[in-house]
Amino acid sequence: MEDLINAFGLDTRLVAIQILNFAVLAGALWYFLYTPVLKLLDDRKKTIDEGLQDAEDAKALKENAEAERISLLTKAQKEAEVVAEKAKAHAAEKSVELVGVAEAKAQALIVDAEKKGVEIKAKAEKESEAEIAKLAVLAAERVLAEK
Amino acid sequence: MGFIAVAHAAENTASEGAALPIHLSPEILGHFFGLPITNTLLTAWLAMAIVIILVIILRSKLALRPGRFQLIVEELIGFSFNYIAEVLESKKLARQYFPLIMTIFIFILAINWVAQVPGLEAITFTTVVEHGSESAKDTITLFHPAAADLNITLAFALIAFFAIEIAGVVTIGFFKYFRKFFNFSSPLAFAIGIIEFISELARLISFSFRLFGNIFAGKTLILVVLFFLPYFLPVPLMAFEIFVGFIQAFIFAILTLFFIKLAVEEPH
Repeated sequence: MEDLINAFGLDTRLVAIQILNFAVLAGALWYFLYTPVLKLLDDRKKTIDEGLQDAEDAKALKENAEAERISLLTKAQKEAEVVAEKAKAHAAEKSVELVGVAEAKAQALIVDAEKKGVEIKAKAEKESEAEIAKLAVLAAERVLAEK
Repeated sequence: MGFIAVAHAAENTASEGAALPIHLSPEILGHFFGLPITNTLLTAWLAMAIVIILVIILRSKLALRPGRFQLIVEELIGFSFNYIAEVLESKKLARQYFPLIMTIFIFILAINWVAQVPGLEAITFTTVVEHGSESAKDTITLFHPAAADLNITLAFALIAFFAIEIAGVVTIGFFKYFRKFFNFSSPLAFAIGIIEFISELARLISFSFRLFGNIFAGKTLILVVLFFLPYFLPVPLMAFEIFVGFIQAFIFAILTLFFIKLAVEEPH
């Protein structure tokens, strides 16, 4: 055993120094390599997961928005149709009413005009009667003056 | 112990400058507060310094949108973490043992690859070695493959061994864990338990000598080839050593992982 130890130059102090070396290197690698790199890998994985999740969410959101847009459009179209229908009906109603009112007004105007016509006629007749009487008197005066 | 004698002979002639500088034991450059500083230790420190500088640079440039270097490191860390979590079948356990397993891999890979840098061996260091009463000048390389030093591989083996045992005790409890090895329910269970216990202890040897043997053999092979044909033959071998350096780091880490998995399993 002694021979073996001498032949290989075995020395407990050297073994101890090498174990210490190992501890130092392990500490350095742990601080400068393992912890930061493993953390970085975790972080990157998290970032990628988040990115993918975000993309999925965005896609779902986009699909929702599209569906909503389509449903809104259909709804709006339907409503527009109803409104247009209503407006048409309303317009028809109104036009009938308006025509009625106009007819009534026209009738009233005609009646009025007729009335006025009659009045004017009567007035004219009256006036002409007076004129005729005046003319008759003047004629009679002239006749009398000649004599 | 014939091979040790051969290695010793090689070591003795190496100082004369003619033979191959093959050593089983690391060479001591000097002493620092009474602690021996070997050239393998220096290589380990060089590797550590390079790794630490790289990770500090990486840390300061870490961004959610990665550059190329960051992408490679992220891939390595992320893949390893997921693999460990898959083997241990628990993210919580993976978070506990990932730093240990990954550091084993990175540290061994770094010391193996740093040792492959061409020309690094050419940097030498002259020291005064005292042989009893007389002293002689000795020229030794400043950097030597760290895993070709049993002290260093034994340190890794001890770390892995205690990590495995502690993982077992902490995860399934002291008594449950030791019932795996000392089971008195039947003679057969007892015998199997004892075998398990021995194989558990044998891991210390297999862990340390597997890494040591591979790197030492690679180093020796390149030295021998350099001796015979210094120009072209070492190139594919050096490329192979880079591969071996990776494989050994991988094996050490993956075995630690599998043994931890075995340790945290409930006994049947």
